[in-house]
Formats: sequence, structure tokens, C-alpha cells
Amino acid sequence: MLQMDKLTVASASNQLVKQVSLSVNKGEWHAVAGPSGAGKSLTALSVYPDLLPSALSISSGAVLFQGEDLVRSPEKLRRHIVSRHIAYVFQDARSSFFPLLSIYKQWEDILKVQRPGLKKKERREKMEEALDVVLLPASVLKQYPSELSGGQVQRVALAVAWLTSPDLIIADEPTSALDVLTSAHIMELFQTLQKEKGCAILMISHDLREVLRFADMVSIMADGQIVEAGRPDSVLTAPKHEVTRRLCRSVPVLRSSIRREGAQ
Amino acid sequence: MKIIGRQAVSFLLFLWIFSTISFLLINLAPGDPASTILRAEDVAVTQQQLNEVRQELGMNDSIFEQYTAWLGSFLLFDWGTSYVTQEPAFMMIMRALPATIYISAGAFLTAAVIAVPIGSAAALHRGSWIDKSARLLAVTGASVPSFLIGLVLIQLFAVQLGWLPAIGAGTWWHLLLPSLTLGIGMASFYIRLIRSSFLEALEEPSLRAVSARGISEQKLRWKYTFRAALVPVISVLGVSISSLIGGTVVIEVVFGYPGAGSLIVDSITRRDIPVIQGYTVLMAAAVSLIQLSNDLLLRWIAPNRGTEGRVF
Repeated sequence: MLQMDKLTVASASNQLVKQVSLSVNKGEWHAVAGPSGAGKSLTALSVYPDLLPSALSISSGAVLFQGEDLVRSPEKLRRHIVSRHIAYVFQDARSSFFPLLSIYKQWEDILKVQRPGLKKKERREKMEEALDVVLLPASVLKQYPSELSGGQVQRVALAVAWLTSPDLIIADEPTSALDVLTSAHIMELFQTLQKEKGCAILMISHDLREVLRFADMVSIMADGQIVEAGRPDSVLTAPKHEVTRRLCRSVPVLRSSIRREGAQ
Repeated sequence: MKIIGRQAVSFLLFLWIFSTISFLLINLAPGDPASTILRAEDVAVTQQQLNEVRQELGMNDSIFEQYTAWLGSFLLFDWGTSYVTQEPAFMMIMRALPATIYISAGAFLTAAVIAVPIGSAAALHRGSWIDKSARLLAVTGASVPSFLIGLVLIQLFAVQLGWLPAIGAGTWWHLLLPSLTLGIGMASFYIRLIRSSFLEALEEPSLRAVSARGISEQKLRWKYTFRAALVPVISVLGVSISSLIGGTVVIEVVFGYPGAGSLIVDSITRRDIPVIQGYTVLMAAAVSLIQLSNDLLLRWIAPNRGTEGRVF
């Protein structure tokens, strides 16, 4: 469904993602792991190139989504495809909601675009259903992003994914800013979405135990390149590349230090 | 509701403190109202007459007695009689005030009509000819004093073209030139402010995520970005409307427009204390009311300003 073909992301002076090829099949959970600065986030943002920081651009390669090249398609078409089929969930969920409008108003705008036929009451019902799935009360609709906690905003972001029923969710370390209990719950919600809506997930993750537990595929990135890829149980139990070995070694003992690094 | 109650209490408190201070300042200042009154009647002043008038005005009482008497009658809208015209001060002010309010409202409307589209367009087409000419317009408008703009407008529209009346009051047409004059100066400030706050709002990190959810560019621009851009603009709106009302004096003089501005200047030169005092307290009340509604407006458009700007 999603295919990255020799994707290269570069700034004016150097290449940050080099010739990355990766594919995500329908309904599949694909994890990307690797040390900080490996280019994982940029790879994920490249699916909707408009999200890349303005100093960076895709210098070569293609991002094919259901056959359409998102790098070269016109802006309008690209946004149409991305908004109807892909949901982004960011590490800092708060920055993906506009601070001056309540959750209800923002969701209403989303539903008006994505489900134009719905009546006001039906929209409201959909919203409440989505909140129900992520275990938030309906009162959240009245609130503003800044009034919600980090875990709540992240759940709101997942509820948007439930509302729009995308084919693919792209998540960039969605749990690294959250406490252990909340992040466990968020991960379960991703699983619910994958199972009940049948959507594929491309998730950047620091926690190799999460990868092992949830992912169907894993790609290990280092220095802008994919150094190893395959099924998590085979890649993580018998790592071939030095970076993968280092990552795996650090899991039981140095887990907390990985966390801290990831939070930065 | 709680906020409004608290604001109302602090508003009344402020008004009381302010009126007391203004009472003391004006009454303790040198100069003798009694001689002002007698001179206005244009007769030779004797010491006995002076004493009589002072007695009549209660000027022989202690300052505290004068204050309570003044405060009591002030609350009943009996603001004393003008020393010069012998008319009630309240009536004089109320007669002059509408003209000033019309000019201010007209100026504000002019400024909004000019500044909002030009400022937004300059931000959206940054660096283009629109942006450059907007900057030229803003700098010109800010550096040319308003009376000069007024004189140029009179020359153009009243003298050369003969479309509009140059001076006086009475019809809506008379309002046009003064409002334009005052509004152009104000617009130049707002063009720059709207441009910079719009540019800042375009950097709001959440907009890209919102756009990725399919919200159209039009809606993104006018519902989201514009809202964020309005926050800094509305924050200064109250102060600028207040100074607008104060700033009509020069314009009223240039256009011979009989408003509250010219009334107060006349009253100050003649030491007409009841009028000065009434106007001062009224303005203080108006300014804090404007500020109050400004705060409420801001609360409505940006309920909590948790706009921490973070990038993904």
C-alpha cells in the first residue's frame, strides 16, 4: 500500500535520509527503530512532504501510496489523498491541534471535509463514539488542547484516527512523552484501531519491547539508512548489524537511558 | 460570570479612586474659580462679590465637606454649572460627546477597512509588490501628522473637487473627512501590526497537522490563521480606541467640528472646573469600560492563550 523507493531527504548541505526503501502492506504494523538522529522522523514525514521542515526537501526517490507518487503529485491532490487515507499521530500531540479552537470545533471541521453528508447530530454522535473508544468523556469536546494532559491529547489524536478511518496511521514515537501506564494504554488503542478498522501502522519507536510485542515488521535505521529489516522476532533475537546489536543489548539494562534520550 | 463580577468591582473602585484624585488635583491647583465666574460676566470685580461667589460655591467649607458634596451630586448626574456659560456641565458634555463618538467610530471603521485587507494581503504575499506598497503606505501614514493629512484631504475633496464639506457639522457628509483623516493615521499602525501578527500566526506549528487532515486552504487561512493573528491585534485595540477618542481634539480644530475635544480645550483655558471634572471622570469611565469589553472579547476569541509554539 505504501512504498518508499530510494527516498533521499536533504538539506542544502547534506543528506539526512539516504536511499531509503520501505514498504507497508495493508493492515500491517511496520515499526522503524534506531538511534536518535538516524532519520526516522524525516522518513515518516516524507509521506506528506508538506510536513517536512522548510529547509529540507526530498531530493530523489518516490513515495508511492496506493499507486500515486506523493512527492510529485500536485499539492491539492496530495492533500486530498493524505487527508482521506492517512492519519498522523505525533510525539507531541498538542502541536497537532490548533490552540484557539475547542476540540469540538476542530473535529467538526474535519468531519465536514471527510464526511460531508453527515448532519450535525450525526457528527456529534460520531465524535462521542470516537471518544468512547479512547476512553475519554464527551466533555473533552468542549475543551481546548491546552486544557488536556499529554496522555489525553494523544488519545484525542487517536480518536481523530478513529473518526476518519484511515488506511494508514503514521505515528512518530507517540508514547515517548507519556508515563508507562498511559503509554501502555495508547499502544493498546493502536492495536484496537489496527484490528477493528483494518488500518496499517507505520510507527517510529524507541522501545524495542513494544516493537517485539506489536509490530509485524521492523526496519532498523542508522545514519539515514535502513541497515536491517525483517520480522521483529528474527531481527531482534538474531541481530546482524552492529547498530541493531547495540540497540538490543541496551534493552534490559539501559532501558531508562534510552527513554531519556528519546524524550529530548 | 465570576470574571465579569470581579471586573465590575475593580472598575467601580478604580473610578472612585480616580475621581477623588482628579477632584483633589483640580481643587488644590492654583487659580480662583470665583474670579473666573465674575470675569465671565464682564464686570469690575470687588472683594465683596468675590466673597459672595465663594460662599455660594462652598469654597469656604473644608476640603472634605466640598468633596462629599461634590461626590453626592456627581452621582446624581448633577455635575455643577459651567462657570462660563452658566449651563449644567452634564448637558454641555452630552451635547458635545456624540460628535466625538461619531468621528472616532468613523475613524475606527476607516482604519479597519484599510488595515485588515492590506495587512493580511501583505503577510500572505510577503515580499511581493503588495507587501512593499503596504509598507510604504504604513510608513507614510505614520510619519505624516494627522492635521496635515486633514489639510491635504480638505484641499483635494473640498476645495479642488468640491465633493465634501470642509468644515462644520450637521450631516453625515461632514463626518467623512474628519473620520478619514483620523482613520488613515490609525490604519498605518494596524497595517504593520496585522502584517506581523499574521506572519507569526502562519508559523503556528499545528497548522500543518490541521492541513494534513484535509481542511481547505481557505478555511485554514480565515478561520484558523486569522483567528490567531487577531489575538495581538485585539490586545492593543482597547488602548488604541481610547487614545483615538482623546486624539480627536486636533481633528476637531482642523475641521471646525464642535465635539468634546474642542469643548475640553476651551474649558481648560477658561478654568471651567465643573466641565473639566465631569469630562475627566467620564473619560476615565469610558476608557476602563472599553478596556473591560476588550478583555472579554479577547477571552472569547482566545479562551486560554496556551499558544506554546513548538515544532513537531
